Amino acid sequence: MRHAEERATLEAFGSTALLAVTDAGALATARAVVERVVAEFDRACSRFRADSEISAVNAAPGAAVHVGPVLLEAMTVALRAARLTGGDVDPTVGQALISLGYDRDFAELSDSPSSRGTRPLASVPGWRTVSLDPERSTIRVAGGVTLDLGATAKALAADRAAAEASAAAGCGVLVSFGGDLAIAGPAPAEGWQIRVTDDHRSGFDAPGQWISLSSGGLATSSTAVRRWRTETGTAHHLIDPLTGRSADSVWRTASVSASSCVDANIATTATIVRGEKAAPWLEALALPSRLVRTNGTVLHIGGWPSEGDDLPVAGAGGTALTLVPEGSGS
Amino acid sequence: MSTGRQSSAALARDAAIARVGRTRRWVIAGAAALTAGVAGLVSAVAPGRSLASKSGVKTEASTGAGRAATGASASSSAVPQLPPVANPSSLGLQGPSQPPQSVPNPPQTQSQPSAPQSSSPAPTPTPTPSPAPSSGDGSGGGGVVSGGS
Repeated sequence: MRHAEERATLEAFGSTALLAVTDAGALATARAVVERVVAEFDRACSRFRADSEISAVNAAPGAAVHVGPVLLEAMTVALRAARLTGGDVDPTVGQALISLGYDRDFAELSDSPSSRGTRPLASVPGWRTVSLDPERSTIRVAGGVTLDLGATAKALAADRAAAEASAAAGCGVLVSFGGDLAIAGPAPAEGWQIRVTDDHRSGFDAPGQWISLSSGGLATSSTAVRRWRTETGTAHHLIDPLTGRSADSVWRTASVSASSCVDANIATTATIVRGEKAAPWLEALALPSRLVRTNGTVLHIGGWPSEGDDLPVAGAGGTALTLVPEGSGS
Repeated sequence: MSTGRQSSAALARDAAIARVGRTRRWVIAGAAALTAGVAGLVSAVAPGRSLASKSGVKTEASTGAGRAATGASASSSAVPQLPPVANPSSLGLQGPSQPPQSVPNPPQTQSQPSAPQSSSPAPTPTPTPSPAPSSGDGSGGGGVVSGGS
């Protein structure tokens, strides 16, 4: 099958980004917009840059720090995520990540835990320690709080990049930042063909499922990627705010389709943290979701298609077959 | 005689206690009436206002809807204003307008860079650098991978 769209790959937020457009002649225009949006979000929201706005906020506990519109919006979205998930997606997990050794861009992390020394585990202060004043455009954090917007800022950037690139290029656009993707404008006739797997760096032959999507966003969170060794074992980047440690989840990978990449990302991150309780939560929200257990079985809920999945559908072993929509066929 | 003086003193004491009790009841009733009067006056003069609206620090809960309601009450004190309709995005996570569809004929392509992949649930706990940036591959083919990052 050959598609009319053109595509480009680039580096963004420490992972691979992909841009696809439905009009090959508009690729350069769309790419310029995406690169600008990436630069804006990186300058505002990266805690690995000493000159970023979020680093300035983290460095001034108790002070109302004036920030630009990008970080203000990203912080608003992060606090909304925390509110909607009862704190399961929390922007104040920065210190917990640092204490686990995630203190620099992931590509620069050494595989040797001794290179990072031993740090005491940090608790998560909680999103209510953050004060946001939209009228004065200021953010204030309490002492001991380190913001990390990794869970939501990248997804927000994908939504913004897709929308702005589509408007500038005048065609359909798909933007994927590390496997979290946003769609804007008219999609190809057959929809955007997407391979849903554990790792966004995988090839199309990796175990997973093909789906097509025409609008909105799709996000995937997985404990199988962005892992590193610590003195006490293996850690990953999805933090449970209750413990300050990497979430010990029943799910290996969670993929959710929503009206935007941000909403999808909020749902997938919360799913990993919530564990078993996430399935009925997603079902109640009518969010199409594909959840992969640590034993490799898969659960399709909320209208997610079940045809063509390489992984065995969840069954015996304490899983909830009743959540698979009727007539799904597998 | 002494009994008569004691009786007179007791009567005087009882009368004083009674006066104190009556005075206390009048003070309580007067304070309640005064409070009600002041509250009614304030609510008539500035309906919808609160001390919180004068606070300089606003939190995430200070939404545009809240600010709009405050502004409306300031401009029209006679007619109670209903709060504006909330932005749907503030209510909860929104599902897609079209759910994902199955793909009967998956694309055949080699355009996606492939990393070593195992079907084993246990991942390799080793950080792997992202692929180097590249320009558009021009293949025009295929699909997109959504996975963890």
